[in-house]
Amino acid sequence: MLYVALRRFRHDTTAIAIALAGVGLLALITGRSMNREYRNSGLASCLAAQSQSQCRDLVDQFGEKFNALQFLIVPLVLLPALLGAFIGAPLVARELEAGTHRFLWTQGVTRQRWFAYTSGVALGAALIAGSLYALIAGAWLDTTNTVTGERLSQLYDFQGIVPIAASVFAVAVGVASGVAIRRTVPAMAATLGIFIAVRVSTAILLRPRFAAVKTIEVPFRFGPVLDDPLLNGGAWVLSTKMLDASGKQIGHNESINIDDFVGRCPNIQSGATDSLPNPGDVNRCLNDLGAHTMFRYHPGDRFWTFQLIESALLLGLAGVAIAVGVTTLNRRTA
Amino acid sequence: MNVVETKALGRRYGKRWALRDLDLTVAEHTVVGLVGPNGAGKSTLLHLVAGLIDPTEGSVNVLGAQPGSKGVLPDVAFVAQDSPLPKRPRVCEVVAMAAGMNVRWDADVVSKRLRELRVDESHRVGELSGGQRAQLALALALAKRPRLLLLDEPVASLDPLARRGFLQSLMAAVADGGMTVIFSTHLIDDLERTCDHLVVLGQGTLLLSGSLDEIVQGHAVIVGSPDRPLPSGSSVVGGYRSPSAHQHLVSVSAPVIDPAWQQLAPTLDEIVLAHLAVEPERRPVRRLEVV
Repeated sequence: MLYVALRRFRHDTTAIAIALAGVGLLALITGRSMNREYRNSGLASCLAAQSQSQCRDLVDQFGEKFNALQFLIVPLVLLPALLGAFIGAPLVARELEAGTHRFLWTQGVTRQRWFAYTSGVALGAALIAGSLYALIAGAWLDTTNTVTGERLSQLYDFQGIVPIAASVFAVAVGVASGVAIRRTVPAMAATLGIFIAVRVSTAILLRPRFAAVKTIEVPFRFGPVLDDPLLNGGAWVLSTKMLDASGKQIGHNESINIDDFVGRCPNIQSGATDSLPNPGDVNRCLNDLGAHTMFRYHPGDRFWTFQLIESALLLGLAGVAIAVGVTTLNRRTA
Repeated sequence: MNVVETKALGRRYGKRWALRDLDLTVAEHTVVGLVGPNGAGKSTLLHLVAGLIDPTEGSVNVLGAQPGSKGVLPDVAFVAQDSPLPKRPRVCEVVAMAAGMNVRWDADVVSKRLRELRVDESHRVGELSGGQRAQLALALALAKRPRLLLLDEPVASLDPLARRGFLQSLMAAVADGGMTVIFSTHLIDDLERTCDHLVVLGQGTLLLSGSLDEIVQGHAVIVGSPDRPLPSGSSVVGGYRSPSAHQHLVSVSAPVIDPAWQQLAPTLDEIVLAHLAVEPERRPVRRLEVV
């Protein structure tokens, strides 16, 4: 029975293997060139000896050189969704559409058992493919993590165990959509829609709340606002605010609205003349006001905690999806 | 023992009742022909018995248990309309698949049939002719050694030669014994050759059921004059051939002995068509005892 279920996935397995080999090859080529650049440009030795902001020029240079790769990374986050759409969704929908469920579900085993075996194999395939993908992406992003310090922020979704859980989730949603919608293409579309909705809303609404947000306040100075203790630790900065001595907000991020200071500092006039105020005057004014920057952030060492929480969440949702699939299957409407 | 038993069985799709208020029993070792026009509820009934769908109301019982349940599935084989088999795999792969999905499996049945039909097992199922695919589906069903075999319009899309081949295979399997068969068809000709019992459905309700002998003996075509009352114990099923000639197809409880009416033997075809032609509101509720 397991053998029968496994055999049904021969073509899917080939397709996944080809896709992973493609991703792996791409990662190997670009990864090697990133690694070479990292060592040869002096960035590696700079970061080993100095802080992130002191190596800023080299970091920027590295970033510019591999800027194009950020477009590659967007389709990568959708790979689990493709597993869901192309392996999960057709699993039952294809049979219902072709009428072959009348053949499959009238053999010697119940449809529940057949469903358990085939969806089990599909989920297992997602687990393996997701793990391979996470391994490849993790190795590929190793240098980039160090250079950008964005492992917990921009690069979070591509590495660790979240891609594995996301793959399992996507396939579970695909299977359930296929059972509920009964037609392959609409089920594929629903899978993609649900996957994107869940991943985006998790990232925006839930992930920042996985742990208590830390805050840090640093004296204001012109220049890069993101301070080294945060950046070097790979922190995920949620918000940056400029406050005065009393804690009142006077600016957001790195921009300052000059009009806010009119009347608060004698040397800054309202825009009677079109010329901007003297930066020295502004600086002195901000100092007088006691301006400081407040960061709300998650420290970089929370990466695995966050990965565990998010994976548990995704696997829980995968369980819900499978339960919906089984319930719908039991209803025997056709 | 009854292989199939339904009580007030009904199945609704949306607002339309595909089958309603059906009481039917099928005894062991019978070959039941299920006839009726399109939309009569034949497929719905077979799907209910196969356990592919659940009833909306009433109950259906197969081999003493709920259809489609674990204990019953190995004993029931179903060949759905147009023999839906996975098309992409090779014949041998589909055979291996079915073998892996059944506890009881007679591999010889399949290999023997495929050899006789000269089907190359390395061909893909989608490349087989309609007749070959139907035969493959039948062979796969028979390899289960089922106690109940259900066939939904197995020959509807086959040419006459393939149809004869299919029915011969079916009859050979029935002759081996131990099997109860229910198959649906439009073609009443096939029934007389293959079935011993008949169930006629029309618009989701049971119009007629019984053994072929009972049904033929229970009907007569009577010809007589208009001013005479009908022979006692008979009731008109339908105007027949030409009403002006005062010919009626009647159901009778006993042979008609009435000098005023001449009696002719109807064919099965005529009986079935007469029952199907009756307006729904004029239909008497009739349930013959045994199928």
